[in-house]
Amino acid sequence: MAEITFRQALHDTLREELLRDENVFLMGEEIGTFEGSYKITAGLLKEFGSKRIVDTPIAENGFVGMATGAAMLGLRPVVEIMTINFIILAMDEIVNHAAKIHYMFGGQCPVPLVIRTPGGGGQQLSATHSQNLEVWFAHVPGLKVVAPSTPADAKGLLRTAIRGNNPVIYLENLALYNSKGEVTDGDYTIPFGKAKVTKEGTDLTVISYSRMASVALDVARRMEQEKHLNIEVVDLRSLRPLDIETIVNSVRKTNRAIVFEEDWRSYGIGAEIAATLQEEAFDDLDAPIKRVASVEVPLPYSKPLEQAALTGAKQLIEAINELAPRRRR
Amino acid sequence: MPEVNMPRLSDTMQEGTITRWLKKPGDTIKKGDIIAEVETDKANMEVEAYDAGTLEQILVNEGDTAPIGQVIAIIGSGAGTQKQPAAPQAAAKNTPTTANGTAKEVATTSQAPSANNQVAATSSRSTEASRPVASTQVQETARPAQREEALSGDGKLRASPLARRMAEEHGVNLHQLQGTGPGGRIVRDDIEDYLDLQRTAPATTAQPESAAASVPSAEVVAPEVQLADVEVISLSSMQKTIARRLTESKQQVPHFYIGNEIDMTDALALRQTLNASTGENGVKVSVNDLIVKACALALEKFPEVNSSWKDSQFVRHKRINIGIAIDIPGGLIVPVLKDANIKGVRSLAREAKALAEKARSGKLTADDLQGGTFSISNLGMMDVTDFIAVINPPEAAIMAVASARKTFVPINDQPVIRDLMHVTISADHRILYGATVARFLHEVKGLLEQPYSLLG
Amino acid sequence: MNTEQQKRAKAGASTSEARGSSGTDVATLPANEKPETLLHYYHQMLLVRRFEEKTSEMYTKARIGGYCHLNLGEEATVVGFCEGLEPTDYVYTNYREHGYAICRGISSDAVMAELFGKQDGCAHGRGGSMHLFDLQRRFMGGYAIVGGQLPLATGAAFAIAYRGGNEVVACQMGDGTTNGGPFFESLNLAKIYHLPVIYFIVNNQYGMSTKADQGSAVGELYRKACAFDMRSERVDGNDVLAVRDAVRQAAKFAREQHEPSLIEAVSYRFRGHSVVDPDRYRDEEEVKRGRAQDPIPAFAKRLMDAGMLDEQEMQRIEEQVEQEVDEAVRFAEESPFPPLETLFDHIYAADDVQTGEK
Repeated sequence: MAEITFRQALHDTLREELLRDENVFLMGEEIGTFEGSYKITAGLLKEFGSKRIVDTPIAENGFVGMATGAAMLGLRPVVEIMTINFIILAMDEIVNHAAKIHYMFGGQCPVPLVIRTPGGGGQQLSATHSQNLEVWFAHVPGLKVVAPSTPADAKGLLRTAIRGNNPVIYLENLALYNSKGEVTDGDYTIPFGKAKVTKEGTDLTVISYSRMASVALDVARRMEQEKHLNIEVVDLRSLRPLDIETIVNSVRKTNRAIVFEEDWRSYGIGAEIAATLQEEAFDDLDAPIKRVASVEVPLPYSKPLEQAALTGAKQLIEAINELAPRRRR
Repeated sequence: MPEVNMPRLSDTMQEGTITRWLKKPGDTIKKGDIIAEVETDKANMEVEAYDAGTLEQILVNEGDTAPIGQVIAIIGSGAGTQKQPAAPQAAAKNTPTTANGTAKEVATTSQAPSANNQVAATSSRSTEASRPVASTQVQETARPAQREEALSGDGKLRASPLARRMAEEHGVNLHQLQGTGPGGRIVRDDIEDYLDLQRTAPATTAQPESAAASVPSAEVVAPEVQLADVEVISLSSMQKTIARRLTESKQQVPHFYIGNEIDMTDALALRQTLNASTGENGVKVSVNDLIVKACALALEKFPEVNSSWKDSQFVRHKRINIGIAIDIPGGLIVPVLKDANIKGVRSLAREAKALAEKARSGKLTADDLQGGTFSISNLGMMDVTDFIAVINPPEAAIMAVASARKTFVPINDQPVIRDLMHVTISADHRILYGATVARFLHEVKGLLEQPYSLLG
Repeated sequence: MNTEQQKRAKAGASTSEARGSSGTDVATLPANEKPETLLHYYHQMLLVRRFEEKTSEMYTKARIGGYCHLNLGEEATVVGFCEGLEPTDYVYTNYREHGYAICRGISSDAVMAELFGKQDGCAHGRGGSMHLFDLQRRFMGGYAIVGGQLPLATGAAFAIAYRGGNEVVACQMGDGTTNGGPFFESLNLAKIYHLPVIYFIVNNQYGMSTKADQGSAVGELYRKACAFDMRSERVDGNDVLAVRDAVRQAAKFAREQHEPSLIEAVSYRFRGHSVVDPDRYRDEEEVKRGRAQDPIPAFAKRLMDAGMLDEQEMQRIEEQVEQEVDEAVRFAEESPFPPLETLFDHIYAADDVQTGEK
């Protein structure tokens, strides 16, 4: 057992997989010489050389497609897209090609590709550098999308992503890189499609993922102390496939649910969760499902405006106060 | 004999119109020759011959339309050549491009399923201008969900799915509840409050701090300011329910009142007779038991009084279940004597006593409290000359019974002392009218003044 | 335009640049060519021709759905391209791919069945005309997004270089592809990583209705390679041997020097962009001229003049090809549609499949 940062967890896992399988290689902008814009890949070029740690030019369409082609021949590329905002340039290769090659060619050619990329805002990076676009990929059959919120989950999910035989969007978050958590030793993997109940409760359920799952857990603990509200927190961890069973069971228990997400509300991740819950747990709902998300504006630069636009603990607390039942269990 | 079929020339094409034949019957055709021009939904295209031979027959003339796959010409050895080419018709379209055309396509095109799927899926886009343009329906903007409307006059009940399920499981009548959830809905909490109310007679205190602090609810009045000369007491669940239901009753039910004095002298005497023969373990008959029986029998005669109001309709109850108000610490409760018209006076007495005991010890069940069709509130033992009761919704009426008092009444022009008891019936004017209630009351009076009619 | 460009432009959009001859000249065949080989090329070209004609017919009979793009007129380019490669090399193409699939060794049965959407198609009915695929024959797909295959082909070459192999990746594309982002990004990546890939432009002079020099700042597309310091050449797409040799040389260069190159084969599209394009935008005279340069009779003449082919043999090959194509149609008709229960198969690959070297 050790307490390490999220960044360290990613770094260690990448390194372990590079050692484990010679077909694994990394590719991305500034990951080698610069050691990664967020230092995830520090030291790896030195250890593994430029054949396996490949610095690319600024050509996302080109190098994501290149990674896809290499995967078609059996290599296992792990591509870093500096931030999820740039993934838009590679949409064609991801959605039209990586996601569909195995299916449309009749099952002959798997694409074992991993794309790691951080989303999120809050550092005044302005509209084109602060987005959360994971829902676009969660929408596409043929892709898998995961989003760990802790170092322990980061390790387990990244291993599964790299060792699996399908294209995976592995969502990170800028503000999570420095967060810390306990990780166990050993070569454990976390399967996709399994959410985690990070706090059990009875009064209402908060469903979340990535950084917001971490915020939700903090809020839930505080509100238990201060308001004697017993909130259950579910960390999705996997967006596609989605663990419907866990979220339904939770809402069956508590009867009230909030989805807490950093992306924009309309047509976001929460829309899918809410629709699914009302389909599967209609008779267990005691109130409409709430969605707490970021305000729908291109994120502005000016600090007070940015703060007002981003969702966070404050908005979640408000929603909890509105939704909490009168009677406690 | 090789057939030339109307070719499928675009992914959306359903039918084509021959605009020009480039060959005529008798002409020699080589494979690859362009033999006709066709107008499709998208463009003017050419028809290519896939076979060689002599064009024998033209089956679809210039200006005519045929669905894809239909034979438009025959290429053969020459033996079957038409002597005269079919007269080209004016540009009148062959088939009206309506549903008929579509049906024909489906019948004649024995193609691979892809063609049929196309027919089905894209039928709305098939060609010609003569097809009436499908009128785009004006999209009505969906009415925003009516929020924040409490249980409203239209009778629609707003309750969460969970609350409905719980209500069904526990046999709770949602109409008896007021919702405190989002939008005024009945939610789980309200069901649980109600069930608590039935279960626990002694006041159960709500949890004040947590309820008040985190959910600013309009129901709970917890004044922040503590004045020196008042003491603020929170309501129990039962008290809350009573307050709510009777307020609702007074606000929504148009009450009217009819009173009368009943001569109870003979009834009291009968009671004494009955109780004289009661053993040690028997149950004594009370005055109220006699009144219950009288009302029950009268309700048999006046079924309209044994009714409720629901969704602008009268609901006549088939059973006669009489609620008897019982005073308990902190409030009152109204358990129900079921089928009071069928049971004898002694049975009623036994049952009433049992219910009173259960009431005082907090053991009444939901079943004990449900199903009432008429109520009696008796303050006779409290030295009350007369009083008026509030209807217990959704019942049509309630009878308020005051004390029996010795009074001088004229009998054969002589003053005689009799025990007179004042009763008032409060009735729902949506269901009942003055004359009916007066007659009903008269019947009750008659039964009590001839008390032996109650026996049996 | 600078003087150099003006000079070139004045020279005209000639189709007889660099190597190879136009169809009208009688040219001697290279001495070291084996007759069987050349007859095989002739057979293949004729097979592609008849197959594509049959495909068009099947489309109008609604056996084939969606879009259908034909190689009619490009047979010499198709055969030359495939014959310049080894069976261990990898091929990526765009959607005008039926001929390439057949010449790479996918049976015409399997291709026609795929066009019909049947289970025995080479992609089991899931791809259709634009997405043929055969892993064994290293035919790594037809692709419908213009330019989408270029980064993939570049990546396949990356894998070969990564493993130190000596295979080559040949990436076919149309003229219009050279104007889009993926073209520039892929060629750049191939050069900086020294990848064994041949970018093969089939300039049939039209991107749908857009003339090649209308959509491109530079009409001679092979010159774009200079932006990457990449070896490139232009070749007469109607000369099957010229195309073959160009590809062979580029492959040798890739294998030995570990460097990419660009080939532009100038050919002509006989018909419209696809089977539903009535082709009204091309000048009729130009189309006549283009069709007059039909590579198949031209090649037949060369073989006849060299005594390698006579009328009888031609007839025999013609009959053989027709039979093969008819057989393909029969096979496709008889093959069943994929069962509905298989709709969800292959969305994801099984995770325990070993994906080692392919």
